[in-house]
Order: sequence, then C-alpha cells, then structure tokens
Amino acid sequence: MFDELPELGAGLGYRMPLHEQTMAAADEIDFLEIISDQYLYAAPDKVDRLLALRESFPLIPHGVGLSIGTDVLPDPNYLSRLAALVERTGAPWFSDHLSFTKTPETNIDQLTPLWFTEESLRIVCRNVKEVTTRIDAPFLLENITYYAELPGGEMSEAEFTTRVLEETGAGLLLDVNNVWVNSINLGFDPYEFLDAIPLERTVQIHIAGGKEIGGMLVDTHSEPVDEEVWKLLGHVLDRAPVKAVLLEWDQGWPEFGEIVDHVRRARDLMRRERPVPGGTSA
Amino acid sequence: MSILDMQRAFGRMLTDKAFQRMFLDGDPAATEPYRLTEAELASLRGLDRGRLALQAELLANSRLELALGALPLTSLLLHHQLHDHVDRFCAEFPPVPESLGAMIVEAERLCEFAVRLLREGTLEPVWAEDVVAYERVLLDLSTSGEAWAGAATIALLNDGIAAPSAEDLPGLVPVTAANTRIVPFFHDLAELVPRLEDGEIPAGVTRLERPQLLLFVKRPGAVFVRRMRVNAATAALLEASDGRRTVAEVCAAVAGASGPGALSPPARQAALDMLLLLRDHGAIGLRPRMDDASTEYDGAAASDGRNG
Repeated sequence: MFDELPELGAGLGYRMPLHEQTMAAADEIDFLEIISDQYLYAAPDKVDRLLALRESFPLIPHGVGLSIGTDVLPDPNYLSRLAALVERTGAPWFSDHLSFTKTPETNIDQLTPLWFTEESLRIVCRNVKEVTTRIDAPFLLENITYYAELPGGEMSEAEFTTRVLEETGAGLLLDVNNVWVNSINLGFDPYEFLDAIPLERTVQIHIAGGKEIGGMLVDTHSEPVDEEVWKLLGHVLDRAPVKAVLLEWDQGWPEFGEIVDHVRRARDLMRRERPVPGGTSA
Repeated sequence: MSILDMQRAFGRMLTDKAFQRMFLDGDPAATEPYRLTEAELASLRGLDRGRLALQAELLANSRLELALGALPLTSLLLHHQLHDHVDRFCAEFPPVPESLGAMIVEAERLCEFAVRLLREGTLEPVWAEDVVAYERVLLDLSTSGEAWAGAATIALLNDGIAAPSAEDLPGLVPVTAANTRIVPFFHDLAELVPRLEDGEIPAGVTRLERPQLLLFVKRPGAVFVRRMRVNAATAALLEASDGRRTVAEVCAAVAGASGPGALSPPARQAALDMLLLLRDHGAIGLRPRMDDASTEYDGAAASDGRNG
C-alpha cells in the first residue's frame, strides 16, 4: 500500500531553539519533521534556512492549519503554499490532523475533535480528496488528543478513522501518545483501539510525553515518553510496516542527550527483529 | 450548513468563555445565530462542562505562551501579570483567522494588548511599553516579507558599487528600504536591553528627558536584526536618503534643517563617513544617479546601474 515509501527511521520534530544541538546530533537523528504552517507565510530567508536543513536531513512537513474536518473546502491559497513547500522540501509524504482547527470566523488553533457522524465523514473525505488532487505526495492523517468529546456520534473514533482512511486512501500518522492520553482521559483500552483501526496503513508514528493538568492527562510534549507509550509503540511496530517514528518535544526541554536517547530507543525498537506475519522471522 | 454551524458554535465555545456559559445555560441569544438540528444542539449541550473548560483554558494559555515565545523580554517583565488577564486578552482579541504565521499574529495582538494595559495602569512597570515596542519592531523586521525584500534590494545596490571613492560618493544616491527603521524610545533601552537579556529586571528606571533613537536593520539571510543607537543627525541623514537626492544633496538638506549655511568641512566629512558606515551596516544602499533625478527609485533601474 505504502511499500514504495522510503524507510526514514527515527526522527525529531524540528524546533528552532534546538537548532544547534539538532545539527550537532545529525548522525543520531534520521529525519526532521517541520511544522509546515510556520513556513507557509514566512519571509523567503526563513524558508531558505529551512531548505538548508535538507543537506543534513530528510524533511517531513506536518501541519495544523489544514482543518480537514471543517465543513468548508480547504483554502486554495493555503493549499498552493503547502504544495510548494512539500515540493521544495522533497518530502516523501506530508501530514495533518483528523480534526478541525478553524471555522470561517475563528482560528481555534487547537486540534478540535470532529463529531463522528456520516455527515462529518463525507466532509472529511471530500476535503481529503481536494488536498490529494492538488498535492502529489502521499497524505497522512493523524489521530488527535482531545478532552471534550462531542456526545451523540453515530460511530466510534476507531470506526470513523478506519472509514476515512479506507475511503480516501490516506495513510495513517499514528500518535501513540494521543491514543494513550485519550485512553486515560476518556476511559478505554488503548490496545482495543489500536486493534480496531487499519494499522497496516500506518506510515509514521508520533511519540511524546504529557503531564497531568486539572485532573486530566494533557499532551504537552514536555515530558519523557511514558513507558506505557513505549509499549504501545512496540505493539504497533510488531503489526505495521512503519516507515518512520518521530519524537515530539516542544517545551520543557531536558539536556539534549536525553532527547537523543529517546530517538535512539525508538530506532532500536524499529530495528528489533520481529516475526513476519505468516512466515519466519526477518 | 448545519455541521458548519455546529463547528462554529463549538469553536466559539472554546475561545469565548462568556459565550460558552451562555450556550450551555441555554441562553437563546447564544444558540439562535446558529442553524442547529436538535441532535447537534443536544450534542453541544451535552459536552462535559469541566472538560470543555479545561480545553478552553489550555487553548487560552497556549495563545499567550505562543505570543510570549516571540517576545522574550516582554515575557520576562510581564509574563505572570499577563496570565492574570488571559480571559480579557481572549475577549478583546478573538482568534480571527489571518494569513500569517500564528506566532506572529498572536504576538502582534499581545503587544497591542500589553500596551493597552500598561497605559491604563493595569500592568507595570510603565517603561515596559518601550520594551514591548522594541520587540515588536524586532519581530516585524525579522519576519516580514517586506523587510526581507528591502534587505535584498539594499544588498543588491551595494554589491553593485563595492567601494565608492571619495570623488564618486557625493554624486551617488543613498536609498533606504523597508529593512531599516529608526524608532524613538523614552527609556535607555541601549542600557536596559543587555540587562534584560541576562535575565535581570532593573529597578528605578527613569524616563529620559529626550528620546533615545535606535536604528534597526534587517540584513539579507541574517537571523537577527542589527540594532544600534544613533543621534539625531544620523536620523536626519537617513530620513533625507529618499532615493532621489544625491549624497551631496542629502548633506545640504541636513545642513539646511540644522540652520543656515552649508555644513562645515569637518561636519560634511562626518556625514559622508556616517553614510558609508550606514551602508556597511546594510541600512542604506548607494546607487548611481539616474538621468532624471526626480524619478522614483525602482529595483530594475538599480540593477541596470549595477550592471552598467
């Protein structure tokens, strides 16, 4: 399905305050994921500095502003800029979230859950089609963390996600920390969730660490990855042909060596010998 | 349109606490603007209030943190005070979509909000207004496409004339662009900024009798904006460098502004030296005079001049 895509290995979300350390650890970091929205309207010299990173890393654009679930077609200007960024970075794929982040009047700028209904499904599929007809590279959708769940949906999140991926042909960017956080806050078994979605469509995985705020586990990207999340990562890697695992660490940075240790551990997990389904071990 | 109206209402509940309360309390003024089915209305009203409040709180604080991330000195001075007013910030500066990076948009909004609160006496110290203005200029010059284009234009001009001779200089035309700005400040920022950058919050900062002028210059490819203190004479030179007048005419204009008569030879030499220094800093470009001195400067002409 996504067999042709390159196996990138273990990477890090690029954050400008960590630029020097990131460059110094280039041998330990297989690729960088960039927040595409930070470059779509940037001055050309900022984009030039981004493109210079290509000399050391493959780059993967990852967005928050596509708002794929909003009941409005994606902004053509945004799509044009995104298409140019994907092309200029030479990215093998790009991604955004299965959520909505804006309406015509409000830039929520936070990943907001969709109502899991047939109507929402039609909207997402229509919008994904609009994206994939304008941008050639494979498109991945990421599952989100959310705290306020819209009641009265017609299907579960797992069913909604499955149908979106199968009906659009999009790949899955599976954030296992988001699965973990939601399972704690919303009270479900994360392994049952994983087994209910098409893991074979997983191209990339996100790992991160969160902390408790106001009685909820919050996806802050500020803490070490929880051991339960490492277990979930191993569970998925045993079942899916994952091309890339990425560590998100956006604030509360520790010594950079700890970040590199996380990346190294993810890479070791990816390379661990595991049984081939229906065959002998690889 | 129904789902879109549901998303509109949900989005507003997350970004407007007063609206959130009205909606969940069943106030018709909150629900009537939206065409919602009974199922959609029931779903929105069925949202867990505590979880919704948490998500809205996280969103409000992330907006503030995003903005402060672009304004480190403002953050040092006002971070905790601004957090006390985060609800007012969200109410007075709703997150209306704009075609700019989110950090820049939120930082611009927060600068405006902070100045408003400083002027009404809600935040202190009062001299933080100068710091906010200072960082706003830095943000604008370091991120805007206009500043980048201006820096590129100036660099192109100066690449064309490597080292103007003393004979040629008076006949050249000094040009400024959107990469350069002179801003007056009413506190000694040249002294304050290094201390703030070291994490110190100075006490007893007094207002200057006369404004301090700082020159900000964005150079091509550079991450940081160059800053330097300048005097009124330098500011006058830059202001007179309108892309029409020659260096000799700029000097004459500055002399005229400062009183009758031409500049004395030492003063004229100082002005010439300063223009060359400003050129070295990328604050002005120098180009040959075109046939019609009144012609507006344009990049193509500058390029022709370089190649000629």
